[in-house]
This record gives sequence, structure tokens and C-alpha cells, in this order.
Amino acid sequence: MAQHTAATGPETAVSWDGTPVAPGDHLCALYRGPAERDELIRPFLSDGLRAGHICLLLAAPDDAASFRETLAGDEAPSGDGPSGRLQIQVPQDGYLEDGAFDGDRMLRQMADWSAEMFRGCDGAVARLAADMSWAGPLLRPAFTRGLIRYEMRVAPWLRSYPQVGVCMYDLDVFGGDLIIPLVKAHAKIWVGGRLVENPYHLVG
Amino acid sequence: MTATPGGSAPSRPDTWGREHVANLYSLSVLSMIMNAREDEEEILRLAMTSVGALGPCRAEAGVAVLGEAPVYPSPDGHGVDGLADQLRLLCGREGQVRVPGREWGRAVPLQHTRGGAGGYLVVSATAPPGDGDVFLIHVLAQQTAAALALAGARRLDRDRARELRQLNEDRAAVNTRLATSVATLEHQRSVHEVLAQAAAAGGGVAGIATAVHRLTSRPVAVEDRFGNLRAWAGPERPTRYPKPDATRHEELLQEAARRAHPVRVGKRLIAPATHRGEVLGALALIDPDGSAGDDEVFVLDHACATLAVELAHVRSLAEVELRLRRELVDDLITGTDDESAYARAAAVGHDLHGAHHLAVAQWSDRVADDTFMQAVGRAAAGLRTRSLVARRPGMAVLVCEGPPRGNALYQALVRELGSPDGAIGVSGRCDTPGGIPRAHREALRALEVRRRSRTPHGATTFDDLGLYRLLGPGSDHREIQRFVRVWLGPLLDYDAAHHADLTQTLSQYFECGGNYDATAAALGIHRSTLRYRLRRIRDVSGSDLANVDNRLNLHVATRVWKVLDGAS
Repeated sequence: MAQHTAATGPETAVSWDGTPVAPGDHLCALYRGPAERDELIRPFLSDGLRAGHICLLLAAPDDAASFRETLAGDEAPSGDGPSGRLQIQVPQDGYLEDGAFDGDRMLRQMADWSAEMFRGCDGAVARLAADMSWAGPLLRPAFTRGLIRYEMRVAPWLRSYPQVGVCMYDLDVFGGDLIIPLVKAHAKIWVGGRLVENPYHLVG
Repeated sequence: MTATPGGSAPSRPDTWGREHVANLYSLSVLSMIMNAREDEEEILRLAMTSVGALGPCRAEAGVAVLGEAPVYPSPDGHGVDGLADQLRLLCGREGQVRVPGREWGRAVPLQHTRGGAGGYLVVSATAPPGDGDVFLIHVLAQQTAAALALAGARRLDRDRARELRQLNEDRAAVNTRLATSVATLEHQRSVHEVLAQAAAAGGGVAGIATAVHRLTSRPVAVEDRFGNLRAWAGPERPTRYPKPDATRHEELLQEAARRAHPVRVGKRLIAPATHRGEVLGALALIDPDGSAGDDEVFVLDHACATLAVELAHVRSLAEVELRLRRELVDDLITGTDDESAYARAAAVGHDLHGAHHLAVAQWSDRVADDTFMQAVGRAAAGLRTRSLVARRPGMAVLVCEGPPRGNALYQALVRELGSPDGAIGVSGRCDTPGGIPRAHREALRALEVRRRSRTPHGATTFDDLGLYRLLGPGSDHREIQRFVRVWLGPLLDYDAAHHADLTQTLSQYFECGGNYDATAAALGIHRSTLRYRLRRIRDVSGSDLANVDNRLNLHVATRVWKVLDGAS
């Protein structure tokens, strides 16, 4: 996987809830309820669009439509500044393309997506936000294992391009059986309004 | 899953060790999540769902406080038979529990209360777990207990905050009520003050009306008990004050007095002023839009109390003055020293210095009641005669400053009483109070003479009684009449039989001192006619007019006849 780098400067700066993050970072955001989710995703993607970043949102169809509507204004060109691109995928486009979750297939798709997005776009930055609430009803031990395995392998893909990925899990939906392995699988965890480093995270 | 250190984590030689450290770190993050929870059941459920992710154990139940119902990991929780009894036997210590189908079962204490008591996290495994796995369960239990303690502290804080908020709200409500009470009391104090000032200023009913207008900003009318306007304050004073129906007005005031509360009549709020159960008057607040509220009613109520005192005071003053006047007149008639009389008269507003006359009035068809006395007072006042009026048995007595016009007073009384059947006797002049008893006798004498005359209705002045003044009230009236009859009887009979004027001619002859020309001129007859009449007088009476005795007796008889005939 080729390594792409982003130019440094204000247009490449990325922050999550006011905390700077670096391209290649893989965050796990543990939030409570849709309202807090929206308050986190909107500025993250909105700032990206205004900075001309490539923005990808993976969310359930209803939520995806709502975000598309509210972020449409930030996508349009404004004056002489750059304009970003907002792309939205629903689980059926990737995670559940064949009706079941396949982490390997998802990682391939995402790698292909990155290659396509960054092709000929040196200096570009991508922001990815994936709200995993759709997975709540699917939570079984086997699904959890597959999801955690996927999460542990996401970091290397993210680091291969100047892109920041945030996996978002609703604490009102998911319990300790998922939270414990999720924490172990992420290098940075946003919880309780703070971004904490996890030096003991595991990789696949 | 391959366990390799991520990021800047130090290299670990042992896979289990790295997994163990990762688990511990994930527990610290879980602790952050649990510490943010406020509901004990949520904390327990989070802990129980984490048990399976930390090793081979399975959560069976969670109990926040021993004795409370356990929380199970899922709605279809496994359930442990007799769990409550097993936990009670452990007495807060960690120990084994029997879980059906599981070889290993353990209850880990959750000591999160101040006294050390708490609940349990109950876990099980198909086989005894390793020490590292049990260690993680202990860490999880400790973090769960800490989160429960934090939640309890927060709940306590919430409860205290709620109590504090409730106390603040209660205090605010009390303060609001207090402020309302203070405002009400302030208004009432202001009402008392304004009304008290109005009463003290001596402005009478007009002052009270002005005070009520100032307090209510509405027009105010003060009425007597008959609905007559006594005072008005504020704009829109009617040019002609409407006179209410007497019966309905009386019923209205009595009803308002019974209710002890103002009553609304059309655009007016009416409150009666009562004193010792008697309605003395009323206050009417003009309130066309009906917006008068409790404050205005309060003002009316208190103003009515002030008005009642004022009206009762005025009435008492009138009664006292009347009594003082009566007593003064009584004493003047019976005789009192001059200085005392002057002082007492001055006290009731009458100057006894200077010439005074007494008049007595008696009406045959009227008793000398209050109405009669008031009529006498009005008649005298109408003639601009300053007088003291008092009641005596059967008559009214007036001590008048200056000479009263007897006939004018009689006519005024006829108008007041609607009856001519009365008489007035007027005394001669008296210059000091000491002369009043004599004047009273003179007035009585004049009244008696008038009443016994042929025209008993009218006024007679003592000074006009002439010779009759010599005849005291104790004289035998019939004897006097006999005297007149002896000397003038033939002439009177002749005049009556022939429609002649011999008696009047003789009287005028004596009054003119026997002068023929003056007598003829006074009578409007010719001198020869006078000669003829005098001859007829001598013939009819049989008296020689040249005889001195005859002449004296005839003169006296004509004088008496004139008085008795009312010709004076």
C-alpha cells in the first residue's frame, strides 16, 4: 500500500471535538445518544468540507439523509476557498453489502476508495466518520469478534493515506461486551468529552 | 487475534501480559464510562456485560445493595436459585455461590456505601478461572463499586440540591406572600393615614370624600341616609343629583348594613355609614367599568367607618347644642345672672348683648314636637332673625335679637306648618338677660290676649296691648268683659242691630282728645255726621260724655274693646 503524505498547513489541520488529531489517526468515539453524535460529526465534517477535505460518512440511511441535508451548504464552493466533497455510504454499500458483515471485504473496499480518492490528489486530506449504531441489533459473539478484528486492521489502512478515521459507538446501544474489546483495538479513544491515548491497544 | 503493542507502547515479551495490560486499560476506560452514569442499574448492567469480554467468566447477577432485587445481564437473565439467601450468608465478604450448571461461582462484594455495606457482582465459569482472570473481575468490581458510590453521592447531591431548590422555592413563595402582605399592609396603612388626616383636618364629609377620591382615583359621593348629596369629590359631578326612591333607598342601605359590605348598584359601589346599628349616611364610589377591587372595597369600608364617626359627631354636636340652647332659654326664662347668661349664649353662638324680645308660638292643632320646633327655627331663620329657640310645654319660645316682626313670623309659620290655627305673642324690649323673665311673661300675656280675642289666630305684641297691659294674666277675664258690657253694651247691641259704627266713633273721639275735626277726619265722615253720631251715642248709652267719670270709664272700655276685638 503506497504511502501518501499531506502537505502541512492550516488546510491539513484536523481536529475532533476541538482536539487536534493527525492524519493516519484511528479514533474510537464513545458517545451517548444521537444528539451528542450529531454535535460531534457535524463540525468534524463541516470543517473538513470548508477546508476542501474529502469527507466520507458511513451511517444508517435515515441518519445519512439528515446529514446530507445539513452539510449541503458547506459542500458548495465559498468565495475563492476550496470546496470539499461529501460522500455518504450506508451499511448496505459496504459493511453489509452481501447482507452479512465481512471485515476483509470492507477493508478492501475502503482501500480501493482511498486509492481512488487520492489518485492525483497529492496534498489532499480525507475525513471519515463511521457511526456504527446500525450494528446494535446484529451484536452476537461471532459478529463482535469479526467487528473487533476489522477495527484492529483499520489503523494500518488509515495510516497509508493522509486520512483520519473515527469509529463512533453509542454507549446507549452497546454494552461492556463490545466496549472492552473496542478500547483494546483503538489507539485513541474519545470518551466523556476527552480524547485519551491508549498505548496498550492491540493490532490485528 | 494477535496481541502486539500499538503506537508508542513498550514492547512486551509476553502475549498474555500484553492482553492483560490491554484489559486493565480498557477497564480504566470503562470506569470513566461507569463514573459518568447516574443510574445504579445502568452501572451494574455495564459491569455485567463487560465480564465476558475480560475472560472466561460470565456475569450472573448484580446487586447494588444487599436485600434489593438483583439485576441480571439481560431480560432473560439466567437467575440463580436462592441467590439472596446465599449472599446474605456471606455477610458482605467475598465467597462462593452455587450456580446451576457451572462448576465455579463467586460473589464479589461491591463496597460502595459509607458504612462498608453494599452489594455483589455474581460471576460464574464452567471451570475455575486463572488468577489473572479473577484479578480482572476484582478490578471490575472495585471500579463498579466506585461508580456506584459516585452515583450515590451524585444522587445525594441531587436530592440535596432538590431540597435546597424546594426550600428556595418555598422561601421565594413565602417572600412573595410576605411582599404581598407588606404591600397590602402598606396600602392599608396609607388608607388609615389618609382617612385619619382627613378626619383630623376637620374637613368634615367633604374632606372624607376628597380622601377617598385621592385613594381610589374615582369620583366619590357622600349622601345622607335619604340619598341627598352631602359632598362630591372628583370629576363628573352631576349638575342635578338624582333623588332615589325613598323606600328602595332605605331597603338598599339596610341590606348593605346587614351584609357589612359594599353593594353594587349599577355603576356605583355603595357602602353605608352606620353608627350603633343606625344608618347615618352612605359613601358611593363611582365605578362605571366595575374595575374596583379589594383595595377599593377596603378604602370604602374604612372610609365608611370614618364617615360614621364624623356623622355621629355632627349629630351629637347638634344635639348638645340644641340641649344647651334649651337649657339656656329655660334658665333665661326662670332667671339667671347676666354674666353667666352672656357666656353660655356665646358658647352656643348667640350674642345676648343688646335689645332682645321674646316670642312664644302656639298652634292649636300641633303639639310642640321636634317638627314644630324645627319649623319655628326655619321660620325665624327665614326672616333673618337671630334667635335661641326652645321648647316649653305646648309652645315654642324664641329669644330674638332685635324686635321680631310678629305678623311676618306668623305668616312664615303658617307656610311652614300649612295651618293658620296658631298665635304668636311678642314681648316688649329687654336690654339685659335679667329682663327676660319679665319679657317671657309679656309674651305669654300677648299670646293669651290674642288667643282670647275675637280673631285668635295671628300675632300680638305686648307693646300694643295698651291699657290691657295693666291687666295681668291673673285677672278675671269675664269681669273685664262685664266692665266692657256695662259701659259699651247698648252701643255694641245698637251697632250689631243697625250695622252702625257708634262704638268705633266713640273710641276714635276719645283717641282724638274730643277734637271734632280730627275725629271726623280720622273716620272719614263729615263734622255734622259726627255731631249726629255723638248725640245718638249719648242717647243709646245713656251716658253724659261731659261727665268726667263717664268719660274715663267709656274711654277705658273702648280701649279694652279694641284689644279684645283684635282691632289693635
